[in-house]
Amino acid sequence: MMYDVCVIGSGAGGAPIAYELSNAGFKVVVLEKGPYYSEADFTKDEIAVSRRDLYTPLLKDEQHVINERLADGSTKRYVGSEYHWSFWNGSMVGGSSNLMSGFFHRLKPNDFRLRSVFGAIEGANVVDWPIDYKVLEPYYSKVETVIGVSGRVVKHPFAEPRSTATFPYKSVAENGVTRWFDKACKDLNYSSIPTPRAILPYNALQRQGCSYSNFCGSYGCATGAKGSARAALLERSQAEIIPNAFVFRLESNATEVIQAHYYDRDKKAHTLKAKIFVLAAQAVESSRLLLNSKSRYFPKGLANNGSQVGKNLIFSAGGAGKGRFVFEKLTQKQRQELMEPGLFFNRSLQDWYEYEREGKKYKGGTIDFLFEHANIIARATREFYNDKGELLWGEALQEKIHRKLTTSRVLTFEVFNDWLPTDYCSIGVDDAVKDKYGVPVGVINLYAHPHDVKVGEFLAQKAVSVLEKMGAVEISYSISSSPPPNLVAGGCRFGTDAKTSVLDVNCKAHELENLYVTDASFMPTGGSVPYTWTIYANAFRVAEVLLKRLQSTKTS
Amino acid sequence: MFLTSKRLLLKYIVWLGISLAVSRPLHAEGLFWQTIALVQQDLFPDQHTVPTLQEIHATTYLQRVMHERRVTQEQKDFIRNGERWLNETAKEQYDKHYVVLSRSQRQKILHVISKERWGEQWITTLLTYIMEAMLCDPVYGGNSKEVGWKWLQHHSGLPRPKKMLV
Repeated sequence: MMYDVCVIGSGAGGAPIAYELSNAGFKVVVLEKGPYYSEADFTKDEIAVSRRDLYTPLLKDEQHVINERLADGSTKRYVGSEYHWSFWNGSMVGGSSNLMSGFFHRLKPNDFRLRSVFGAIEGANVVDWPIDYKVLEPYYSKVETVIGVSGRVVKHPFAEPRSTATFPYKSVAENGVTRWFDKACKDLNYSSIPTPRAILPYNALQRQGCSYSNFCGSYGCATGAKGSARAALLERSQAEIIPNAFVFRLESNATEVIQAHYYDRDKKAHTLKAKIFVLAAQAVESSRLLLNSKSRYFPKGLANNGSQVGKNLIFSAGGAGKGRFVFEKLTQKQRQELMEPGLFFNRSLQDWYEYEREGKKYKGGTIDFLFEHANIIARATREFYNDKGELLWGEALQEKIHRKLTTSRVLTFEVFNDWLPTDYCSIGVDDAVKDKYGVPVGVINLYAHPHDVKVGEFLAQKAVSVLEKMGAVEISYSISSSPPPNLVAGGCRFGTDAKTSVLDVNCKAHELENLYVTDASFMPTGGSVPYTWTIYANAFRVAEVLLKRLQSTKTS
Repeated sequence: MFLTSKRLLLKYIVWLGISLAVSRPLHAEGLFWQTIALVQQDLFPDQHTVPTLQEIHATTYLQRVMHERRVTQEQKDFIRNGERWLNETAKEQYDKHYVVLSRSQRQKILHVISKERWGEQWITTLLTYIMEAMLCDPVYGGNSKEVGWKWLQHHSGLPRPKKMLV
């Protein structure tokens, strides 16, 4: 069978394509490496989901090799399975969007012109995007209604322009401690922002509303309230979905991809033909597939005659911190508010999305605040050491666990700022290490520009000032150059110049007529927010381009 | 036993050989788990207000973990090697196996090994699996009658698992 479109990967980058084109009547097939979990399969099982990483491959079967560039310029090689270093996130139909917390932020207009506004930074490959915010805005808006984004629009110094006055869904119910946060921000003259969430507060879009189960991030949503690519799009599309289908090679001639080669769960090889191929397997894996798809037409890998595939890999820079609220300092009413399970703490700060210091203009970022994850085993294991860093056991440990977990609660924060693209941060494939299918694994060449940590530190100190104002104790934070595996982008930049980018402005490979890449690979810079909303929005934009292309072909 | 024929005698010899071959590892296995159970007791002692190891089935929980596919062989080997190294330390200090030491002697051994990198890791590994046994969903065989959740006033997320997924 010849499909109109073959989508490789079913997450936030692939699902909008499948949804739009299949619902318009075109024959669309989605090849997804992971299994198909439905809402009935999702439980709040801390052992399976969080302790044993049920939703990611075993590293002995599938892994990455990480080459970390050290300060002295040397490189240290880590084979993922030997160092338990995993870059997998959510391997299943709908991808990691099933497991996200759904903190949704748009990029700001200046995120599209970082180079023009902030100038060059030595050692970084910062460029402007080939599109501006206005081009993407209608699709951000579309995501709000189709995926389901809940929130409340407030004025703040870096509020992005909106084509609609309000979110289509009101905010999910919030914990009373958000009022303490709002007051602290008011006292500090900061602008508290109710964080938009890709979570439906009530039944809508043929999905159930949030059940406030107290477990959201890392877990699949059993009600469908979370706007995963599966719940919001794939299950409402006419696309054929083939799970457990690992695409290991794209076969092409000089100008077009002809067919995808994939293994099923029994490692049996199959081929699939389509007129158009859309790659959205997650940034690292998309570049890996292209690099592994060598041919006489593309000896360095598919779409890589310009040697750009895999370059300018980025993550979200920043880090995390926390503060603890203890009963001793609270009234009875405040204690009850603090310990109320299930309700969300949706607050963000973007006062320093851009800032000046010592006369220099900096691109800053976002700080999201949220309660410590409800995972009880993880919370108990964090109490194994005393304040002096000594390991506890016996009665001392039992007393500490009980006291900390029943008479206090931790509010955490996450800092998001730009991970500057550089020559040293990229994707390749390994010559020696292969996965369980016998395919060379992806290599992550890792390097963080020192500027990233500097900005992260600045933002973390602002977050600390809020926690202090709120009366938290045991405040701490960690800003580092460690890359978060769930916030990865780049590798197939889009741009107008084929010499410096892999994709054109519509995310079609410069070197091929029918290959598009619509996961986060296209992003030249990441903005200072989680990427998911932008990935969704851009995929809807490309879907519109593809729809016109397919319709015009049909007509002609 | 009456060995009435050469054939039966041969059968008996084969049976005896197999029994001896099997019983030695079984004995070692029994001692290993006896040591682990005692270390668990020393790390997480019975107290009036705290869930007991019996209530959370800490040892049988860990026995099940040792067969889990998603727990690395390296981790399983480390748990086993740690028990051996613990006993080597006990031999060095008291010339006795850990299980026959007094409570205070055992605590001293734990303090000694906790200063070693492997020992600190081994204790935190055993503590981690005690926490899992105490706070997992009861379908995993621990936390009977949700005793751990009640102790920490924890509300489990819903829906809960109906069967073990690992």
